[in-house]
Amino acid sequence: MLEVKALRAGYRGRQVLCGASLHVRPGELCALLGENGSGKSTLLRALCALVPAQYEVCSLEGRDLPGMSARQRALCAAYIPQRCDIDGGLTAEEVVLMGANARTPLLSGYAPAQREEARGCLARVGAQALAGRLMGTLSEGQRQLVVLARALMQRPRLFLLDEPDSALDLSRRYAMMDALRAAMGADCGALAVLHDAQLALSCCDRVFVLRDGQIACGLDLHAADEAQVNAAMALLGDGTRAVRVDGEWAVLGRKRTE
Amino acid sequence: MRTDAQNRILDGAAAACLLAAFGVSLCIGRYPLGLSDILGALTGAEGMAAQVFWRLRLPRSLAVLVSGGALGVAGAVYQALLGNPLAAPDVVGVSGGATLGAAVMIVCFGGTGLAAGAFAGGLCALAAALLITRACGQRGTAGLVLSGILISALVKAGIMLLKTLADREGELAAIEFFTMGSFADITWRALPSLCGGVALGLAVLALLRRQIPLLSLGDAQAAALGVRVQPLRAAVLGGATLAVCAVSAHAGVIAFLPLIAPHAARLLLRGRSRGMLPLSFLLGALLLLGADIAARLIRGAELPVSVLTTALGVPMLVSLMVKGGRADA
Repeated sequence: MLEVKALRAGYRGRQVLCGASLHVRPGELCALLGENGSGKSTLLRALCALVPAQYEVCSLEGRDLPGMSARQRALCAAYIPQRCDIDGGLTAEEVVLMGANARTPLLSGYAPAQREEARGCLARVGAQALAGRLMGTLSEGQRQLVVLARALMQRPRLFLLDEPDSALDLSRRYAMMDALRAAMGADCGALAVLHDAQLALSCCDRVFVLRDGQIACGLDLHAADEAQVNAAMALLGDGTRAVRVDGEWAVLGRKRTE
Repeated sequence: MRTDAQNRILDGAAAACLLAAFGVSLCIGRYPLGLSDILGALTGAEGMAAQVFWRLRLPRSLAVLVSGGALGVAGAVYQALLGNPLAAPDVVGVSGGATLGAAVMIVCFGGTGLAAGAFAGGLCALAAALLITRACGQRGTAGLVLSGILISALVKAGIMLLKTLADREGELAAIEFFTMGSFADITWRALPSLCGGVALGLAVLALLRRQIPLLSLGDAQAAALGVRVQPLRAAVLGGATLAVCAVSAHAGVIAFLPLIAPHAARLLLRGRSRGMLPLSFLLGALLLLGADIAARLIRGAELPVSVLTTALGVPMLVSLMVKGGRADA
């Protein structure tokens, strides 16, 4: 459903992406991994037209994603930026309601049914208790759950998430991925920038590793063997590797040097 | 946090205080009016008291009420959109632009068209700040604040130039007087353009009120939620600035009110953003009526209203902050 071919993007005088290609199929939860500064965030920003980009193909279900209007894009793709500064005086429910903005006429208010739906979205990420709380009183991790609920509220076909888990504790990370997976169903896709390779291997269907401005490896985790996974992990840093324990991948970092 | 029901009670209480202040404002002045005078004037009595009421007191009080409300709402909008609790119309150069416009009219045209000059000056300052932000590709509010600082600096240089050109007796004093704000010269003639400008600006804000919290999220999030950021931000800032300029055109620059009214509203709402705009309107109007009453109560020459908005506003905000701090603890 998402098809990216030869994507080039960068900031003044510095090319960050030079010909990145990847694809996300319906129902697939894909992780985008890479070292700091490798261009993971830039890739998502380029898809959302937040940085200028050149590309051969950059389409979501056949439609040019960066070329859409902001409203059209919000109707089919939910993007969560890395840092979400939100006015601390809004309640979680009011923030989630903003997800309905693109399908609400410019000059009218939100409908009561949409408020109901917003509470439902909070419940789907396990944050129904936060509905009436002010954002300013929530922890960073709680705020990330609210922002994910807002993305669900957009009813998108594609989720583009930039480190949606960075402030969550271990069990919440897995719960978030489960909630995302449940929201996606069989016909939505997701591309998530993750820092935690373990989370990527445990929860995702496919892993892309970004290196030197290109996708150095795109791995289908359901079909990959240990050598292939280890080759992908090695791209993330010297000595990073994965072993299979009870049918699960376990990521090991560099060996401790005594 | 306040619930929606509490918000309504708060609005009702503020509106009641506002009504009382409006009543007091009708009575106070060099020619004090009693309740019976006002009732008499309203029921068609003639005489000095009725003249004062219809010709002076009523237009002045109405202008103060509308202006205070407009400045309060505009301040709340600036603070939300620029993501900065210190944001006010001076930050993007609007107050400076209005002063420059007024100064040009005072020095070059002997003060005719002062209102039009101030009005145009303020709007031009915002337009220039938006254009600079756009031209240098600086997205986001930081670029806008920076452009505003540049425009303010430029405008200040222009004002200094005009002040050196102005004659020391009349024109220089008129420019200074403009920067201190006053409602002493308001008559019915000022009200259509004052109220019209304010109503137009506030109507834009009321229509786009759902977009204001979205714009406060910043460019990336707002765009991701389907907001056309640049035109909508220009429209919302334009609406707020239109209201501010309509006030400046007739009453000069009123210091501190756009900053303090939203802060008071936020403290009374216990940090909640919902209901900020109506309450900022009520508190802005209340505070400016109080300041204008005090300006007339002090004997001798009438004080500039900016002196009093600041003198009244600071203790009020301090007391609210102290109370808010205790409530949080």
